Amino acid sequence: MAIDKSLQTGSTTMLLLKLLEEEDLYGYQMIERLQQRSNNIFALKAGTLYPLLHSLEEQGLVQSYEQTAETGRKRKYYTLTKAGQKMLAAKEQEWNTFTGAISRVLQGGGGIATIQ
Amino acid sequence: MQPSSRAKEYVEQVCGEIRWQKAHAVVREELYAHMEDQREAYLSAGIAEEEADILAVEEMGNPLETGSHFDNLYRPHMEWGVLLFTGIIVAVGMVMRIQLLRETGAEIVWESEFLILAFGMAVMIYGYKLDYTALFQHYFSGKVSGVIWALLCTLAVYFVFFAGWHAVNGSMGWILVNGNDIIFHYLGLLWPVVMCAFLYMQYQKGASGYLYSFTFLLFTLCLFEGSSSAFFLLMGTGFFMHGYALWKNWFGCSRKWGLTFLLFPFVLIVMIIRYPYRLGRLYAVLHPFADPVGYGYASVQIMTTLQEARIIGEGGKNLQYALEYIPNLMTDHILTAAVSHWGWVSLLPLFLAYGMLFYLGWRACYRVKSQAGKLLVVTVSALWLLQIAGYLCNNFTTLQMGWYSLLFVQGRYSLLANLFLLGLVLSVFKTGAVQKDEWEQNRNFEEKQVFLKKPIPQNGD
Repeated sequence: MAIDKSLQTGSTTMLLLKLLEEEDLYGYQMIERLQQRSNNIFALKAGTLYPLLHSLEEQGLVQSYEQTAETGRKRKYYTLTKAGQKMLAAKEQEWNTFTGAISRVLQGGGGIATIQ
Repeated sequence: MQPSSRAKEYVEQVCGEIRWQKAHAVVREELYAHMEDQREAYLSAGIAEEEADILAVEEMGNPLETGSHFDNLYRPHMEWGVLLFTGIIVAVGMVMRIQLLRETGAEIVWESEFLILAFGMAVMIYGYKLDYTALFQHYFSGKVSGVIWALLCTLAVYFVFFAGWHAVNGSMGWILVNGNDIIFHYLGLLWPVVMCAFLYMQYQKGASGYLYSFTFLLFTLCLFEGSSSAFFLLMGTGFFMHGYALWKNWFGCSRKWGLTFLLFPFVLIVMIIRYPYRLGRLYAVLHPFADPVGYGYASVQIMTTLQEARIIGEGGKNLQYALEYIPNLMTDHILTAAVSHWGWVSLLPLFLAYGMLFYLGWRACYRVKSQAGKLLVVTVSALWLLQIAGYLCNNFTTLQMGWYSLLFVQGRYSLLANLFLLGLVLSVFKTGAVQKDEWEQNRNFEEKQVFLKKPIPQNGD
């Protein structure tokens, strides 16, 4: 099913940080991993991914280092920093609040707090 | 493997959108690596080579959009905070100095004040434009460093064994200018950049590289022995920069072993204090009142002035007293003068600005990827801290020595030298996020890890 891109915008940072929380990855691995986990819903272009990763590095949320594979090819791995971990926790909380509210509205219900 | 012509075309289109040339390398390398991974995935899925090339490039997305995103991200970075607080120090220092001069009735030569500031700005911009990478990676090649080492070694041997530091007051006769060891005194402010470049040339060259750099420091100290201020400044800065390199495991040798060597220069202090007049000064540091009209005179007068200083306001011994009894008050003891006239609180704006300058500099240093750049920031920071510390000793303790002017506040040559160093440091921050060392680009990860004795992570392919 095709998903409106605007729904994904804004959550990509959180998704990338989440992937990096588990292990250090290089760009190609991130795109693959995201695609697999989302059942091909999130097909991120490399042209979108790298500027975003560089921007996260600039903000100090991730750090990069180089590693040469057995094949001799250089990989640029990204790793989550402490600031990145904090940001991820905040983003996750924000996302849960947001999706919870959307679900409640879609289900036609309303919390007592909302009625008050 | 060479990238395909399509991949090259794509990457060039992306880079065409990025105005800052220095960022091209970091973007190019990563995009090529990604396309290569993508292409291999298609090939292993059974797609023909030609088709795999085309699909790999198509998967990347719009090159103009990508380039535009990178262009927004990568701009030469000016560390405005560092520049601002340097400006504040210069301004606060100038106000303090000129106000004190007015109080003492001295004439203020405004043309000279502004001329030196204009020169200082020009020198700083030159340092910024020169760029530290040019100094470290182009001008200071392996051969050049070898020649400088040999020259320094020859001069050091000549001074130690033949010249014998014979001249007046321990200074070397042939470089005396108006009776002062002025050349070595001011050269001492710029020489650490050469020491820094030399140390960087030994990066990851093992214990022998460390010893090579260490001998460079020793020869430097032998050469600068004629000027005690330059000697102590270079010894302290050399200690910090080599200590930093050991701490970061640049040489793969034991830190304790390296530090043991590093303590050796302190033995050279014996050389520098062996002259009777220096021994006299040393005695005066410990017992200033033993010779209150001789070696201990300045210390006694400073202590007397400070004893009656207040937190806010003029002290019991006022500016006129200080001017009359403390030698070279307005050049060597301007902080003592400020405390006697306005109280201790008058130092607060200046030292808050110094604190902010160092804090912002260290914070900016985290972004720097190049080891050469980090070493330069550490070296210049150490040099500046030692200049301030020495000046504080001259102003508030019994340790009196011919020292440098207060950082960014006084002096002509020292102000110019320090502003040039500021320009170099700003050039490190300018390219901090994109500039990598040549060493990093040429050596593979396993070699580095084996050298650094770290386990090689089993990560991915």
